[in-house]
Amino acid sequence: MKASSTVRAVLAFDVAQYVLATRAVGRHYLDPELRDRMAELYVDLRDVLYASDTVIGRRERRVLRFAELVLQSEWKLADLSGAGRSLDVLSVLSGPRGKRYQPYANVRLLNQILGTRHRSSDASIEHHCRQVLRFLLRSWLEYERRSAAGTESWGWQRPPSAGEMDERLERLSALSRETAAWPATPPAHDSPPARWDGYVGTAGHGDILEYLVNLPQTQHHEENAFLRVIHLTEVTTSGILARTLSARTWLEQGRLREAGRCLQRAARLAQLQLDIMRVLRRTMSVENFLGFRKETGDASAVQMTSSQALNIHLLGVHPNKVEALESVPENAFLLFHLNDRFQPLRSLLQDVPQGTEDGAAVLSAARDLDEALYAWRRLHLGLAHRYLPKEAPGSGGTSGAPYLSGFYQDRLFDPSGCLFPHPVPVSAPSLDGQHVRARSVFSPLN
Amino acid sequence: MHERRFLIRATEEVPAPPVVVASREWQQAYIGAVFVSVGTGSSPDTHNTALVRALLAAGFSGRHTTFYSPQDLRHLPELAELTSDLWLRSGDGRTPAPLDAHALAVAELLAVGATHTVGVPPPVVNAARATASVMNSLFTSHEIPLPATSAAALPPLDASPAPKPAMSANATQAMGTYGHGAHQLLRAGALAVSLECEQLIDLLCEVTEGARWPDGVPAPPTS
Repeated sequence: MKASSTVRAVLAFDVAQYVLATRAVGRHYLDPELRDRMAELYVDLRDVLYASDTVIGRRERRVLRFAELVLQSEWKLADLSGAGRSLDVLSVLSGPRGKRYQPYANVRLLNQILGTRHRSSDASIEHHCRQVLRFLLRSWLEYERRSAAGTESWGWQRPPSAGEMDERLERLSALSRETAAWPATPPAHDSPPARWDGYVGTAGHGDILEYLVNLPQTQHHEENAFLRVIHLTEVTTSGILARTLSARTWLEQGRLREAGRCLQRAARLAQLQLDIMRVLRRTMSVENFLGFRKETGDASAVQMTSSQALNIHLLGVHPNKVEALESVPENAFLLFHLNDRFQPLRSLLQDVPQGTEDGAAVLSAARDLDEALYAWRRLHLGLAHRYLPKEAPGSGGTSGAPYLSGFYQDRLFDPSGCLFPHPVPVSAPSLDGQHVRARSVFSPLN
Repeated sequence: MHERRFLIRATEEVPAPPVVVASREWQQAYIGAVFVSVGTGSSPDTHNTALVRALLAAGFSGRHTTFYSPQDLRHLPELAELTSDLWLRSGDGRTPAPLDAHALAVAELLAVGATHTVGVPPPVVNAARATASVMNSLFTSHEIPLPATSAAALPPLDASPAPKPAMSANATQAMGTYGHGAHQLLRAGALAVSLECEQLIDLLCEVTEGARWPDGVPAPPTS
């Protein structure tokens, strides 16, 4: 009985109302009853979907699995202060939720579109990344155009200055032109579909990206922009990661030409990632950033699994990151790479013959990738210095700029272009008492 | 190119020592990439849990290996039905269709995403490879990994160097003792592979919604 009533309740949920309410007031200020309701629905739905005796049709299950992702995000963000809530709700809201970054940025929804929740090929993931990048850049550009014209009500608080807006529009226009020939995603509807069914399948990707991924906590215009940069960075990182993993596999097989092509494509995405970060650096004021920072909570890029995985597959586990990785349950499995069987790209490049055409191409592409990622890390460190008050801690429980300073210079090549030697051996923590299991980089848990 | 995934079939007993040695390498070189299919389609739970304990004692790591029994995989029959259906509708007739007897085993290989196998009969591997090729023809890019035609390469036992101490003593101990019971490992593994199964079904449904079928051939049902 409960299963069917849960399914009915989930399918009857008004998604459009949720989206419009979130846009009207900010996700943090949604009606607490709505958020509680979504958290309850998630728990009930989870029980239904994982019960061994539940019989659900294929299409319906696809719809419910999608709804699960959105509802889970609200459950993970649920306020645990308990003020004015019933005991029943509190018991519903208990349980492990992981870190805030993933639900804050709705990363799982993004991963669903990118194909990083199953073991797609690198070509497939990059294809989807390009589709999504093209869409997100255009979406952001159109949003800023409407904002500049005074026709956009979403994110009305504390807009950028006229000069900042002009530069942002110029940079976004350039990026949109650059990606104009990339594969396209089905466009979003003019208004969000009311039912989950409208978002399922390839035809729903545009609506997911337009309405369900970007849900700022506040009405601060710059938080809207900040989240867009996060999403764009997630997408480029996934593409770079997919191509890097592939390049490693090709190198293990001695297939230099294929490895070189993968690294070239990764480098191209890394350059775009850097250009996107520059939009933020050049057009977001410190004052505006600090205006919404509190509502990001302890969400932090240190919790960004794809980024941590990329750095490990490029360079290995850095000693200064062990503690941060161990502290994030979703990322602790990455510490299993601390063994001398695992060969990051840095190690594999040592065996690439420099005197051959294919070998030279591999190393050249690796340098381009390394340079772009190093430039991004420097920029990111600069942002930490610029936007964080000296006395304030960094996000995600880190020290902020000092934390980033500890490893931003770790890279594939030294300034003279020579490969950096193998990383300093690091002892793996035992992870005793923690339920950490090895998993693939691309997995349904993403 | 897909991430490597190793599928070891352990039907009745622990695999031969070279397989165990190789799997230790794979578990560390390719994190999360080692899957062990335990028992047959009708083995009792007691048999499967006893086999998992034996595998752990032989050197497989509870933290690094996904153990599961095919009979516990949710949606596997559905995936087998869907892939067989797709084969019939989109195959060009020149390649033989996977035998009905292999349909579940083929679906299992595709759900795991195995690129390398040990102990899986060659006809099953070949059928899985052919099925994956046919399905990939429906996608815009190469979505589904093709299992290698030859079994995963194993080091000769007498030529294998002594395993190097790969981790600290504490970590090694944690690897070996993390089991929380063979039953729990099988349950967690079945859940993990079932999720992969669902993802693949979802993907195939998305493709079939937009696929072009030969004239007169109805699209397979997606509900």
